[in-house]
Amino acid sequence: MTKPRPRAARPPIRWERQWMLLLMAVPGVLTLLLFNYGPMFGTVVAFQNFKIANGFFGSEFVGLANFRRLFDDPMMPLVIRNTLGLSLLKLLLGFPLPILFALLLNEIRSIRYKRVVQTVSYLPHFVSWLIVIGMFQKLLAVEDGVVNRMLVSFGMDKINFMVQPWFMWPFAILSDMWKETGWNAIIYLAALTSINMDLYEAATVDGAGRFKQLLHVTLPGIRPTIVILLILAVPGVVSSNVDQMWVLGNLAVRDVTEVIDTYVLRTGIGSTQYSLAAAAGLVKSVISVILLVTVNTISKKMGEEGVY
Amino acid sequence: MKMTKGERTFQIFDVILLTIVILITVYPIWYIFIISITDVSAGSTSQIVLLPGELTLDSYKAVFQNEQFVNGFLVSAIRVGAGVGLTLLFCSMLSYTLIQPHFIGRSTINVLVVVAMFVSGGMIPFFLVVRSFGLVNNIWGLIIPFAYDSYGVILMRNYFKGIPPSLQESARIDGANEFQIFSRIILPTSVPILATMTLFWAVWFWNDYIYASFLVTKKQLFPVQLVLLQVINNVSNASLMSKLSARGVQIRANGESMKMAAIMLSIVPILIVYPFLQKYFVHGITLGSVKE
Repeated sequence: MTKPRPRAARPPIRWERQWMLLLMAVPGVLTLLLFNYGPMFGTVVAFQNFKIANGFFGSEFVGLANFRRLFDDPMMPLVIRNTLGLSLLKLLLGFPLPILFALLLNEIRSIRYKRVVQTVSYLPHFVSWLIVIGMFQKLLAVEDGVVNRMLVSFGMDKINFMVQPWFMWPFAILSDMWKETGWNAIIYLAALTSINMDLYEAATVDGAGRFKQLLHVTLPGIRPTIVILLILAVPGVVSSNVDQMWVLGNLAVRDVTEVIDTYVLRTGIGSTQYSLAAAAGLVKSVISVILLVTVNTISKKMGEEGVY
Repeated sequence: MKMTKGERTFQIFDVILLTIVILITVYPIWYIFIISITDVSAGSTSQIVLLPGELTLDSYKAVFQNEQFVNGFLVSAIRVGAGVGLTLLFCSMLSYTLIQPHFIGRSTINVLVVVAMFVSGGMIPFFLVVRSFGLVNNIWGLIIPFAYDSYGVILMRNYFKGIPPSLQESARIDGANEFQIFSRIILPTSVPILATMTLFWAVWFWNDYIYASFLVTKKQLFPVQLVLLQVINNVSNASLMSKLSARGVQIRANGESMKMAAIMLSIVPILIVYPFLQKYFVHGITLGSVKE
């Protein structure tokens, strides 16, 4: 039998172990480099007149011409309005809802009922946007949709909702709430359960009612969580949910549904103007990173936590 | 603890409010379900509100007799199986190397992982890169480019860190190599996080249609969501219907009820795995949200 080696505090890993670890890291790192970092370098096409036949290295460089063309596109003002308008409204109306939902759910005494509500509320998150919109299309259908039948029974005219421009933004915002509120509440619920119960008892002793407890114990308890989620949400204002808007954007309503990402898909893939679309994508990515850094810095200056 | 009168009133109000929320959540899905099982030949679906009409499974049969749908389900199943398998393998191995304090690549890879979480090259350069590898119109193109996920790597890394290092140390002393430690010690003790990631990735691969819509143009490679995208975006389902009648099948279904059946079928796999994995994922994601 060999003598057990004396144990160092942290024995350095020997070379054969290093090799083994490297080997284990390779598949993941390779995929990361090729398909995450590759496209980052592929962004050069935004500065080229990219032709598939010439490839990344053979295409002619044109400086900022694509960006000039991009902002000359008469569609651009609409795209910017839709992207920012929709995202800001979603943020404004959709962000507080999960907090409210978590607070209401947290007050429920029956654990069993609480669990049922939670389970059901997550479910829509796992259904794709395409299916969600397909379902609501049916509910809102002109011929036999339940909503239009209701309108008729109230003596009103039928409405073909899915081709009404005025309906698109409210629908995008409300369906977003329908799909994600329960899911987004998970983190708040976890934060709520981690609040020290002694604080509530102390507050009760001090004569604080339920509402005062909410104001002075519960909300301060989940404030760090709120801040972090807000920081993570803000850079998203330039994204505006391509899955949702791509399906919603039929020809009748495109003026109010076209956002940067759907514009990128349509110009890039649809009409193969790769360089123009890549320029639009690059503008989006840059703004999103700038927003992240800005919000994170402000948050740290105000004494809150940051995400990095 | 005894409730005061005010508290009891609030409880009742709260329960009623949340019940309404749940009904609103469930109703659209329920509505689609009852239409999909209603016999359309017995009358139109225009009476249906809460309960189905005369029952039939013909809409489902029609979906299963439609080559596009069957093929779509097959492609999606392959995509989910291979996609989740590879992503789990790649990312869990990578995460394991990142918890080894003496691993030489650790800090470099850490930076690469975190930066990739916030910066992306965008869809067009991504498409061009995938294309340059010959992966467009290729089933692997729907799988391999997505076999890495920074968010997942960080969640798993944090989970692995919480496993007592003494377990690894004693295995090392017993002569286990790094892969053995990973596969025999780390993986079996990490079921909650592995289950969470399996659910997330499976749902992602199953639900994606945006990437698929530009990575494949051949109909044989369409995942089911892409088949549905065509159907849902088209007001008329003429092409689907003509295929049905061409086969001479007598079916008590129409394009609409068939669409509803297809929608239900595309949710079923999620409804099946969801309850099993649900107990893990709440724990799994909140764990990752705790800052180091």
